[in-house]
Amino acid sequence: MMSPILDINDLYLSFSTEEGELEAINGLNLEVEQGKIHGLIGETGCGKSVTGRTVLGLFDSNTMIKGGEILYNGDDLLSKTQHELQRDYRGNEIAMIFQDPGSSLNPVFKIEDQLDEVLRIYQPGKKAERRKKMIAALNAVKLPDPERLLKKYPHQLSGGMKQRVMIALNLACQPSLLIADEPTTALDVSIQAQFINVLKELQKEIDITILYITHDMAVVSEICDQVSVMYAGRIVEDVSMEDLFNKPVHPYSKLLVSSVLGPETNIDNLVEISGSVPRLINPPPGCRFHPRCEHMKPECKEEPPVLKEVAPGHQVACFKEDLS
Amino acid sequence: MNSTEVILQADKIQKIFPSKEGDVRAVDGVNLDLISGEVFGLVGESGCGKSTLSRLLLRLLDSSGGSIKFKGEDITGFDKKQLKMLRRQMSLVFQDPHTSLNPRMTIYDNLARPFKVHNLAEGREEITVEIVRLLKSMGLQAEHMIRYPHELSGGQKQRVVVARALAVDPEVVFLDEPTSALDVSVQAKILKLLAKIKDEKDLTYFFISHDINLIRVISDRIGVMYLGRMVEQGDVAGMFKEPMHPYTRGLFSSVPEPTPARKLDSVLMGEVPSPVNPPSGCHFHPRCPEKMAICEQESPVFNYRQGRKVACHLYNLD
Repeated sequence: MMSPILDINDLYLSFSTEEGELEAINGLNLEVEQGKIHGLIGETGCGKSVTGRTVLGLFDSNTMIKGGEILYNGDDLLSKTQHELQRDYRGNEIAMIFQDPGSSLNPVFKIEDQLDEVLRIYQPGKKAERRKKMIAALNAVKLPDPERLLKKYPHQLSGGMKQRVMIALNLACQPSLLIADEPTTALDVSIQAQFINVLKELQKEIDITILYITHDMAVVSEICDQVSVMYAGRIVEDVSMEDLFNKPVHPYSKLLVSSVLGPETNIDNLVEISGSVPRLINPPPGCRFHPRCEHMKPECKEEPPVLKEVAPGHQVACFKEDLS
Repeated sequence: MNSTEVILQADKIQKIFPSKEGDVRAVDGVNLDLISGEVFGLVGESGCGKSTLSRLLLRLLDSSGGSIKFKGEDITGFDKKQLKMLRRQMSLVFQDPHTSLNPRMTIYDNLARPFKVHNLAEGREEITVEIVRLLKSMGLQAEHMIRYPHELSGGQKQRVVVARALAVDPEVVFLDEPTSALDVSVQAKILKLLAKIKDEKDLTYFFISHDINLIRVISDRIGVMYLGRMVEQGDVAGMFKEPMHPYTRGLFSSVPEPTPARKLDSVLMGEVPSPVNPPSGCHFHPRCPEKMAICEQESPVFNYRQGRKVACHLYNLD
């Protein structure tokens, strides 16, 4: 097996809030293999976005790293200063696209200025060269007429185009890892489908690794190779996309898969998940899923289960005896 | 559905918004029959006029042309007093529960509004009884009454919003993307609750969503809108089995399905053009894979076919 491009080990992260310490990430283990599209899924409040931001060292002032390491090609990103992250990793190595394309671009600058700013910071060179790179990046995301597009302001573009400009902006410096945080949530299904196809083609062409954060299971089935299911700050299952849908093992993954609306779903067989993600200020002890779990056993309340391999490329964190 | 009584009917309804660049024909001659007791699902990309249509039908916006009938009575020219009565018969649930409730009022005060406005209950005691009844029917507890919106979760808030819409005991409820701000787990709960209430109270739903899988689950009939016009209408099973309009086909095939084997193939290309200067003839022709010469010149009319209505020249040939 190839060594992972991103390897997060036993990460613990808390936010200090007025009500107390919020344990957002609690012993997270995540390996993202080079050249794959790796999905990170779970309900709102599971810590998916925090995980993505932490890789890039984008912290709010109330963030406390309690332990663990984030290895990027073997280097621990948590030991780097903000200056080192900015100089050596952000942009050129790791890039990130956020949920809302509308608010990610600066409304008062032309697309050209915004793309050029990125290149000036991360890949200084002659203006003509930078321009060539800009055109190439816009072509790569299949945006028509890039020369004209460079002269436009964000408000003159549609949501789908803006999101593609965001990818172009991120790809201009040819990073090796792209973190995409719910990039299609604000888009129409038709535009989402176009976006997914562009991203998939790009991934093949330039061999970039993508960590794709989403709560949309249907999107996962369209784009991901491998998937990590996250619940209340921990990974509960790490599995190939096919196996996630065909034979999910963790009770939470099973619930997520069964809650997806498909062609055969109707109002009578619609699956309800009871309960919701717990507040992480006083999280349930042991396995944080136990209050919602139908297979709950006494030991589930004591120690959190660790990820165990149940098949090659398939890990599950659960005390259930029959892990299949 | 046991009856086929038309409860709400729109005839060539239009809404034109004037703008600096020219008139925006947000809704451009839509005909619609809403049948009592059904769930009518409306789909289409953003900017196709779905929300504008629902606001016209509710008379929250004045139409620029055409007529709307509620139970056979023309409501297009209703005055303020008549509209107030109409608000008790048709109500609306908005998309985002987080902004639909007044954050400075308790749940009690939020829910007491419709009772006070319409004089449906008098005095604190009577209103409290009603509110407790509403909250219980939504699977919430009486104690939620004294909370503020920020103390509730998204799903709980949306249940309060639905409760408020039901307070006036309406016959038709418009639901504008009621679950799009919620997690899948919460979404299922709200959908089941809506279905249950509909059966208990014999309601009619007008359901807007861009989530086509969801529309398929909840609706009896579906309408597809494109750039201000209705392009196809029919019952759910038939529409999904055999979508006829090229736009419907493109839209349905763009929906990601949770089946690992299937991949997005024939997706809809391009984007919705600006309604200020819509394409000539059939609005969809620039994106249509089956475009013919006539499509650029003439707007297709609704054609009936086996219980289906389609506005497409492909089906006008024979």
